[in-house]
Amino acid sequence: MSNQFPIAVLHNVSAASRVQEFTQIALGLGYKTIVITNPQGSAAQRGIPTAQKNAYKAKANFMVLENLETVKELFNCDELIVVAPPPYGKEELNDALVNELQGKKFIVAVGGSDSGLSRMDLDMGRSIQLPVGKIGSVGLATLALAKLMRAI
Amino acid sequence: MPKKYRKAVLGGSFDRLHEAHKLLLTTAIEIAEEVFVGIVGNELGKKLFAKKAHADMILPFERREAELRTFMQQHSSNFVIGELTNPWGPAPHDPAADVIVVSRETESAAHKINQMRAEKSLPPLDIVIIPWVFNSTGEKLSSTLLRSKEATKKKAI
Repeated sequence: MSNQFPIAVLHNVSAASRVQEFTQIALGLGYKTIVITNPQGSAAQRGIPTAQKNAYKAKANFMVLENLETVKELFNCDELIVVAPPPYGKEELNDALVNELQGKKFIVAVGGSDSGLSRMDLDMGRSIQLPVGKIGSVGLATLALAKLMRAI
Repeated sequence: MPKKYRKAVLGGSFDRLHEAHKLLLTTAIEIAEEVFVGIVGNELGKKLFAKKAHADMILPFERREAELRTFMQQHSSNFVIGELTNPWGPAPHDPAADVIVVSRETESAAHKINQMRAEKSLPPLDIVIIPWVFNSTGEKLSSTLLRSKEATKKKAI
């Protein structure tokens, strides 16, 4: 798969609408590969097919994988950035971090539910947080994906 | 750090600047070198706001613009705020613009703008769609919701 980076991952999702929204945002921002990990319920049954169709139309790669560990195993990335709701991130997503990521092959993973990701998931990579108001998990994902696109 | 886009355009009433507005604006600031924000003026508002709930409570242009400007000044060094005198603003004919940031409600307007640009032989704008933002009680955050809550409070007093 050529031109697979940057990669956006939505992990642990059960709502179909969340999968569709995330895919729409990531594709709109220019992410080349969308990965959904551990989809359940309507996300798996209805969300995935629609998201895959949209990714195909946008000429982007689309994959469904087991978990973040598999993502790390398959993609030879320099950094796995895991987006955490404040105050659970270990670092702030600021310009210094974006600068540091420039030229690197990185993957951005966000949680698919409002409760975010587990500590184990956050420890899979560099957990970051954004100093923003109450914009929900999809809003947080939008801002993180937009800010990290600047590192491309 | 170069950004993906040269110029983002977006527009709205920006009544009672809230978190969903801020998400829209911040996303535009993150992805584009320059941001043009169109804000519905008082004259255009008379037409556009007529059917909105609690339209009489929509703040005047001057107040909406001042709130918007304060936010933009805190987050961007390269922006222009313009009063919209028609629903489309400069987006259909601005050759420098290359992306439009919209909410899910206004996605259709972005497609219409791209049709208008095609008629002028201008390249289409990339469309970035911002998700809805919900408040702590699960209601979709919007200016209309905020006005309704204010109206309910006023009644109760």
